[in-house]
Amino acid sequence: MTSNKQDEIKKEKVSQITHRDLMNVFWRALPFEISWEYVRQMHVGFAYSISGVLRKLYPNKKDLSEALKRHLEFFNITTYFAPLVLGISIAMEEKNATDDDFDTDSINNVKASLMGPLSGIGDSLFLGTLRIIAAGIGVSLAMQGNPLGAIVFLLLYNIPAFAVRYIGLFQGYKLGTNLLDKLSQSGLMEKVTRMTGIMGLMTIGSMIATMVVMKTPLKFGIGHSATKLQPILDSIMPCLLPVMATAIIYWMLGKKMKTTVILLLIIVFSIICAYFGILAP
Amino acid sequence: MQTLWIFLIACIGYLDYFTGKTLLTRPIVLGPLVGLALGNLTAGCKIGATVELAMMGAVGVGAALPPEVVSGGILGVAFAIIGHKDAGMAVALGLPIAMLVMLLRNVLFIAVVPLFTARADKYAEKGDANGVDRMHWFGGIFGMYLPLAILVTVSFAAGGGVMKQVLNMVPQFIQDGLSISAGILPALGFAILLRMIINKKIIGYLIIGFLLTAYLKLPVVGVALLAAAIIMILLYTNNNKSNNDQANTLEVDDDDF
Repeated sequence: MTSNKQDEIKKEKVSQITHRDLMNVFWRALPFEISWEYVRQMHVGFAYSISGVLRKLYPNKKDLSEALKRHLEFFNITTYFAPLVLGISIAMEEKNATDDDFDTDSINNVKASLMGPLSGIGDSLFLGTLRIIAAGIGVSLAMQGNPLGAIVFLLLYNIPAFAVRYIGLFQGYKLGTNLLDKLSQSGLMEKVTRMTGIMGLMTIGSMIATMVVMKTPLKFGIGHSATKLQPILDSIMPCLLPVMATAIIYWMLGKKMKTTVILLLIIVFSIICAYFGILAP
Repeated sequence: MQTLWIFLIACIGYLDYFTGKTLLTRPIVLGPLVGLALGNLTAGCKIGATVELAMMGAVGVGAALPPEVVSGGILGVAFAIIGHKDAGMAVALGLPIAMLVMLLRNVLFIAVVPLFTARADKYAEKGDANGVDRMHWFGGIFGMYLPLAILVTVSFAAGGGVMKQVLNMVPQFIQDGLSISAGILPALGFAILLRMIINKKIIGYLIIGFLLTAYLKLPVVGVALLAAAIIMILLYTNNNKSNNDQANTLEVDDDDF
């Protein structure tokens, strides 16, 4: 009898968070990382995004204070996935507001366990793959002096980014704590990583051939009978020098060389090659 | 007047962080705007695209902090256009600026933003959600947005004339060298990305993408669409396999190229 009553209360309370509340979170989660700092990183951003919902769930100042403090713990994520974590956290907070036995530690545990894997996927998906594809297409337009390149770049990147934000928030709220289990059980995350990896690699391969430019003006022999080196290289394989450069830099990165050092080496190398006429612009 | 435009463009660039990391920071976006402000849209597009490629690897992944691309992109493109130099010069100027501003930005992150975020704790203690909200915006606007936008503008105002003279004094072979480096630097970006997403099982696709363009001259868009088609084929064939099978194909191996 009592449990039935509790269920009823819960059901009533479940509808406390409306579509409008979630949309409010959606907009609040856009400036997620503006107050980023070293120690707790995106913690104020998280608290800001969820504070509207907390205000509604905890009319009591003391409860609200506890909830705010809870969400001012360390947080860091690829921001496109922040709404997903927010959705799940909101579902949990809503439960906590109605259920006295709810362990609030579990909210932070879920947040902490989600941010790592989601950041890994998010970084390689958005910053590693989608950004490269969008930039590749945008750059190929912009190189011809076409300002549409910038617009195409922004659209290609942001339509999926905003879709992930929106779907993540609502699905995260809907599935609550079960979400991650579901995703990892179905192997969906791995599949997504692998498929986007294929797309990323093919585009990068294509871009190495078009966007890394190295040409040598070197000749053998004197006067009109001189043999140019570049056509010989091209007959071995087109874009041979760009491929070699990419491979060498890749190897250097594997040797844990800092990108800034490599960057400077490239500039120095280029100037030396220009001075001796080994490479031409 | 140009200075005002540059300030507005910097404001647009840093809006990135307020609109959900929409990549407004990128040189490919800011380049055309700078070109427009300085009366040469075409050059802005072209130079912006080159700087974009050179700074491909400069993006915040994980905890690593990248060079600050807004300042580097805007000032690099602007000085190159003013000095009638090519994209190589924009890269050569933009990169050191981006690194320098990254250091300054770190100072903001360490010393200024925490002034606000620490107060958020006090408001949370009192149960004052509005106070927490306010600190989020203050931290973002005063700790990051305005200082950086103003810094870019001041550098532009100070550097425009001086930079033009300096650029004309640089010997030809250094200018050529910088142009050459603008052609090589994208390789660094691609190598960083490869380190991130490469995986033994799918490395063949990298080679396919390269060969299609190197030998068959297929444009990047064509390769991306082809990749989409391959993914569709794989998705349908993969559905028949067991989950275990998939899990095995996912071991990431970084050391092979």
